[in-house]
Amino acid sequence: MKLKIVLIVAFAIVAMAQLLVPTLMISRQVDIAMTGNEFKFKVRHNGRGATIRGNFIWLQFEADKFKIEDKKDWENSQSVFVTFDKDSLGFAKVKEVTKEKPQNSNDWVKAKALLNVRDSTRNKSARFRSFTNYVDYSYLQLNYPFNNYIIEDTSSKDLGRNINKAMNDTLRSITLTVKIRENQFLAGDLKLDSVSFKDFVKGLKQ
Amino acid sequence: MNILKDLNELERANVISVEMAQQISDYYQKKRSATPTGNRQLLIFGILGALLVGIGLMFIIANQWEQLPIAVKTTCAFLVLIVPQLLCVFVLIKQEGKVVWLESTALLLFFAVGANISLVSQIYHINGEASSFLLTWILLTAPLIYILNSSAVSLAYFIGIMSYSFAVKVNVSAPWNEYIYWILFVLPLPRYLQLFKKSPNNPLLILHHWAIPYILTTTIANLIHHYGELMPLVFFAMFGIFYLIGNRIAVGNGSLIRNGYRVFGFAGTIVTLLVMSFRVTWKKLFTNHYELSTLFGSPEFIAIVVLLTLAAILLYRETLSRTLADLKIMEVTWLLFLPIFMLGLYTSLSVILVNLYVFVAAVLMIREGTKQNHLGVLNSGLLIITLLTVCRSFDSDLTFVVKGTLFVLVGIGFFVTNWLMLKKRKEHEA
Repeated sequence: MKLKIVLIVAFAIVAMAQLLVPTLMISRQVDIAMTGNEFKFKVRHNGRGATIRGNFIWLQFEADKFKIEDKKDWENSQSVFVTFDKDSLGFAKVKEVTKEKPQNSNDWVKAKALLNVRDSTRNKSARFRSFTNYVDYSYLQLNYPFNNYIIEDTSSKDLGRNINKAMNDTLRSITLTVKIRENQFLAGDLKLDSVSFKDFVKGLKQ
Repeated sequence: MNILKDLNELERANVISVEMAQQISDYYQKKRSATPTGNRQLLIFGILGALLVGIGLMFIIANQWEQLPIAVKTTCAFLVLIVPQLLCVFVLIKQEGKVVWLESTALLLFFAVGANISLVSQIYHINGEASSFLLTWILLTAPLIYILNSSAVSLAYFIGIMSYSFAVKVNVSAPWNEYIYWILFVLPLPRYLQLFKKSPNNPLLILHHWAIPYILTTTIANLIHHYGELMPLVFFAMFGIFYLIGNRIAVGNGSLIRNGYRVFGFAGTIVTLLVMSFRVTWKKLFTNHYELSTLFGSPEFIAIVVLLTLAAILLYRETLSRTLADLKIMEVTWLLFLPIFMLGLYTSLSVILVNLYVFVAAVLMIREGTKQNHLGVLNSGLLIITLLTVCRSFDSDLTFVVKGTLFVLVGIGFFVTNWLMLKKRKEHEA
């Protein structure tokens, strides 16, 4: 009987912990929604397509590169701290990339920095002539934790194809709003021109 | 049980006395009540049911529900967790000792925790790394193994930590996370050992006997950092340990289906030997210069020390009940490989020695198969020689004539030995 009580108490503690973790996740997001600084990221049109991966859409932002002096100072796939600022049009831009936690700003997230930035400005034949020419080591490619944007189910092939097409339409302006505060972030609305992604998909379905 | 039905008939025919019939009946009654997994089928189907419900829940919830307001979605996400939790409480209070109930609800809760975290992440657009999601899931469900005494959760936990180790390996920004895996691996082992002693025939325990060596085989490479060339010692010691543990399991029941350790120990040792039979695998060992200060602190070296010590203890315990001559070559390969490996630091003679070793091991197996009149053991030996021949056929310094001759000889060997064995059997039967 004593063992039974001990087991029930132990289970109650574990059950509370199981409930506490998602609750903390939610409260943290609510907190960021209220106190985080809002940045609007311009989404780069991905010419290669295939941006949808299951229930995620892989977004590439225009502000995802950082000029470096010497590649020897950086390691590939290194974890870095990226501080953001706003440009004259109000879009997000990379202010600085550091290896240490920034002290003078709250607008930063941890990101993965890749050294081998592909230089898409070179023409195809040059790419084939030398792969090393195709890779540009003077920039860091930054992968943010909000690159992967959760979307609703796109199991229908047609729907997925239409979304892909729209995402790669260079005439459209695509933006993602993200609230940021000291590595905490809340991905908000993904907008195609001025239409929210949710409404856009709803329109496609109809 | 059939024997209980026959007892009355045997008693009436005066084959056994009334007392004896009563004693037999009591014995089987006692045996039946002592087995907690009274109905294995029910247990298996109960767990399968929980597994299917768990997976089904994940699919349904992950699907079309964007239209619902956030509050409703959040409530659903928490209900997915709370309902299995309440079921577990009900089982703990009302269904104490009922294995099917316990295992099914515990496994359901295991999946519910994962589903709940995924759902909250989806609803609130929380992105994170797979490794941190898996770690949270594993840590929140690990206590269930002990509190609910659940083998099914233990099994799911092992698969979870294996996935975690793969996810962590990809994440180079937090290399220290790799070491957490080994701590996580140790957590359910006390219960596993307890179950091993208490109910060695438990079907879920037998699944553990396959899962644990499989997980260790796939994740041990995580230890590789700067001294990857030392890993053969780690592999040999690990597979040696598997084989020796397999011997202990085989004491109760010799069936290979119940003994994943022995299968992994045997196959792993042979594969590692074959890999080491190539000159190229020794190349780095010949050329590398070792700094002792970094070598002694490296994960590879620590693993070698720990595993060799463990293997030595198991081998010592084995020699207590058997003579040295009774030991099989697979049980001591890890020990015999040590001097060959040391020699490999100075000379390329080790490559030839490994090839000879594989050949001798195969011949010894063929001899053992002939002695035991066991076609499986005999053909395993022949298969090893075939694999060795295939490996050598990749070496460029052998001419096609030599390669072809080797294959022909092995083929003839297969025919002759099997024919001789079958002939011997027929003679015995006659």
